[in-house]
Amino acid sequence: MKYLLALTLLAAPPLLAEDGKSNYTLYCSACHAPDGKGIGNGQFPPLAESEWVKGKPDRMIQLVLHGLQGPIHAAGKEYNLVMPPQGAALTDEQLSSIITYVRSSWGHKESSVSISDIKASREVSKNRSQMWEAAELLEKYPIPGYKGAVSESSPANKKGKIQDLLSYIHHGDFKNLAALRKSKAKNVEEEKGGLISVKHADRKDNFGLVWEGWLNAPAEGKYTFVYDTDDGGALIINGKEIITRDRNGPAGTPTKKSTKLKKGRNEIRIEYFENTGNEEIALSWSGPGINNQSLSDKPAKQKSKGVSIPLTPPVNEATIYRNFIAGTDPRGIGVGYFENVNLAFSGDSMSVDLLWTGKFMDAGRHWTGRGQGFQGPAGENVVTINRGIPFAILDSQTTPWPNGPDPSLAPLFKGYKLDKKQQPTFLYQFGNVKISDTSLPAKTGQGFARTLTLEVPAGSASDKVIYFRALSGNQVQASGERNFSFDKLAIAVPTSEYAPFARENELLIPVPLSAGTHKIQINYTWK
Amino acid sequence: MKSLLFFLAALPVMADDRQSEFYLREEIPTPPGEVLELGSIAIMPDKKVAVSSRRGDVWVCEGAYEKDLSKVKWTLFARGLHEPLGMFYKDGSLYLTQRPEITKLTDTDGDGRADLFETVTQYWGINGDYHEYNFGSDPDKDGNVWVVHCLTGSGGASAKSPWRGWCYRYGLDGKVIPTCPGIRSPGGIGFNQAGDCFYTDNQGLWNGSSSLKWLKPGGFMGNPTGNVYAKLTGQEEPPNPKTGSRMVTEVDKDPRIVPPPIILPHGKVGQSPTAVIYDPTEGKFGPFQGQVLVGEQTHSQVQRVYLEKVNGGYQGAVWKFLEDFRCGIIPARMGQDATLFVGGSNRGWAARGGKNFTFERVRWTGKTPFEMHEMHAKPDGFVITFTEPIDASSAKKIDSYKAAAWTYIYQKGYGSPEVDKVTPVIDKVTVAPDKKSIHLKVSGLTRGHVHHFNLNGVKSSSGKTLWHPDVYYTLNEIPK
Repeated sequence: MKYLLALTLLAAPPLLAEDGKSNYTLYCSACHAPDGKGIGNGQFPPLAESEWVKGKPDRMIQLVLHGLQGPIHAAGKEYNLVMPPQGAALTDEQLSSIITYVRSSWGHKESSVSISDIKASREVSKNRSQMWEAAELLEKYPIPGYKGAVSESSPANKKGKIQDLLSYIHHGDFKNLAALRKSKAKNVEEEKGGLISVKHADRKDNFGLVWEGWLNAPAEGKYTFVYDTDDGGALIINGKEIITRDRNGPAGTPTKKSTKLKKGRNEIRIEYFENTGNEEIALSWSGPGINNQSLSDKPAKQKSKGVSIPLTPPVNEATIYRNFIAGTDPRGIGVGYFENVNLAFSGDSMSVDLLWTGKFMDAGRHWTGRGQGFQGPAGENVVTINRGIPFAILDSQTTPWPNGPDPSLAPLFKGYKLDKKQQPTFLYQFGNVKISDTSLPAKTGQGFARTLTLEVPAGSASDKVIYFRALSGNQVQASGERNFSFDKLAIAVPTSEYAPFARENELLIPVPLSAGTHKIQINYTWK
Repeated sequence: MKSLLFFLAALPVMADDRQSEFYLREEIPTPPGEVLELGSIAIMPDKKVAVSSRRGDVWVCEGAYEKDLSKVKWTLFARGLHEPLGMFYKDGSLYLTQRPEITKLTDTDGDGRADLFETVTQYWGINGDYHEYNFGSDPDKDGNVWVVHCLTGSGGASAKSPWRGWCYRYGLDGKVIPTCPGIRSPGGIGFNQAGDCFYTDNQGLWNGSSSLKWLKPGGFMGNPTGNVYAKLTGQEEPPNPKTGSRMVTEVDKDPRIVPPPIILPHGKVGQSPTAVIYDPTEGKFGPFQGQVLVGEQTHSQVQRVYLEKVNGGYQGAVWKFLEDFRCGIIPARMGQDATLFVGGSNRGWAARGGKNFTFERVRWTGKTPFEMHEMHAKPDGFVITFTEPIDASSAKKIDSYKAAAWTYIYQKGYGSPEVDKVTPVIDKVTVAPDKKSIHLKVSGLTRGHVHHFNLNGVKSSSGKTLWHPDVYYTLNEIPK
């Protein structure tokens, strides 16, 4: 009975003082290690010796409350992980005990943090729902002399200003620039901050933003703009389109272009559209008198220095890398051939999207840390030969290529088989048409010899024509009935029942939908 | 007073050196030069064991059951898969649940390497976010693979990647069965002995603590982020719980919500639960036949779970069980002759143990530990059974026990502190005539709370203390 009484009394909060060390051990030491040095020989950030712990406590409290993601620099090393937010998981008492413990351990002699400090910090950021990223947190709570990519002199902390900035908001299912340009603005706002932002939109998906304003160039000369978008957009300076990102996909592959500006006011127009999913925009400029200033509220994502893990095909074998490959869809399949040619196949649209030469892929991004993001090819001479579905039934040779598949001709990935040299033949269907698709290194010169075999079952045969889009997205020049030039490639179509034909930015090969087997052969050779 | 303070401070229990007396943990050498961050384990004929890695390789191990593990032989079966987390062997092929699809891998020419990779289904969406894990089960009795699709990011669900945050069953013939909405971030999936499917979900948005959840078909697992996809197929709108509430309150409002059968109190019983298996060995792996084992990544452990059905739902107790693995456990698989295989990785998520990846086996030494065996909820308290007879005089003493109970806020925020703390009072202990169980009569039982008991004072008839004296029972329902 005595014991129970004692337990009841102790369970009352004021008597149950939170012990910083035990709370730290329980909730934090799994990653930061009991000795504060970080678990796994420095794989996780240390707190001992860390500049993030020192100084005023606000930065650390905010970081613990809301979490932190993305690249950081701590105690002489780069990390790219996620600190999960603890604000909802731990009480003010627990947080004050833990932060005070860390700030007074392993050589730290920083002031203690009270429960009311935690409460005040919660109040300041009560509307925050996202984790911090280093740039944003350090802008509010800087670390003097921070050594990381986001130093005080970095674009993250240096904001430019677009004068007389107006934002026009558009609504619509925008998948490309043309659609945005066709639509009318719903609303216009004056943006006194002078920085572009996705926050200027009134919705999360299916919108466009167009900004107009003036950039004040300190001197006449060449200025470089870096523009990153999720999804797409364009940059127009003094009426000239400098950057075109007519695309639908994640940020992380910014476009860098230069143009000449006159001293003083230059007209700037920024177009941007977001279809669905994440939305992101980042724009910066540099040139005479301008050292990498951000023109958006958020800076472009810093590329982490990262570890390099080059993937090389074994002797006389191909190697496969299924992962998020920049330039193709999320169901990307990279194939590196021993003969120094490579391709990326989209298991979403059943299209060979990319061809390149030299090195295959660097797996460093995906095989270290959590492996976030898309990784582009490691080699050279990258050519995007197509994006989106490569097979469609068209009414005539002038019918525009459809944006998506016809339901009766839905793409279906069936997998792949490997030959003795581990070289894949991709197997897929469009509707009931079975297709096998093999690309092999060309025997003569550097390139690929690709064979597609279509099997049309009797039940699905018709007098219609199915078109294979062999090339798209760039100008196709004919240099003979079956020879073409495209980007860095010379293309030959030695085998097909109907002759291939080029039209604006496309090479199409018609195939009769008669029952039986139909074969297409295409050779791609780097010029 | 003193002893109680000690009890509170000592909650993060340190490694217990008694483990080797009961269970022999051995590291299996991995292929030299390879980074084998294990994601799944499959048992093959002829005493072969297949493992898949997070980098996307499949290796086959021969000799994993042998006494001398230094002689294991590894054969590369396949490379270039996309982070497979779930693999089983069936009729000459290995089936893997990868990020983009379920794939059947076959070696058609018998050279030891897979040459045919057939896509079983790629029904769900992915958009390139690193969170888009899929954990796939073995086939159930109807031949369906259960797959839990992690949300796109901690709070995200995008129209580009449908069915994130859902469990689906996929037939090997391509059949697709929507099963449960409400998933957040799974760490593993598997069946209990009755054939019901369970998965682990990690602390975060709408998960106050990590837990073991029951994938009751049609049931809602707790996180409404993936609800957006119901509209796409005209399915019934899943429950929309109120943030800041309690699980029991929301369950009473909408019985489609399935409360977690086992809460794994954050920090106290691990931090990142993973694999779900059960012990089918009929006593060859110790006395816990039929119980569920749950992997733990951060603390590099395997926990032990006893499940019972009360008022139609699962609930039960969790104990710590095996620990000191050399890295964070992700897959676990009971092999032939009662060998437990586990593997793990600490990439991206820290773990105890000092190695970056590991493949290990555990065997019972034949010596039975003195442990709580099962724990049953009763209308007036609990019945706890033991693996060997207890000393009645120590068991009858009320101060041989300590008790605490709490729950978590059911909220949109990341995790929850322990709240609504109550102190259950043990009014009476009755020791069964065979001395193999006790009945605790408890005042202050609270529906929806985790009930924690520490039985440090209870001794076996031969004077031993319990190997694991702490038990956590999730009391979703109090039996009538």
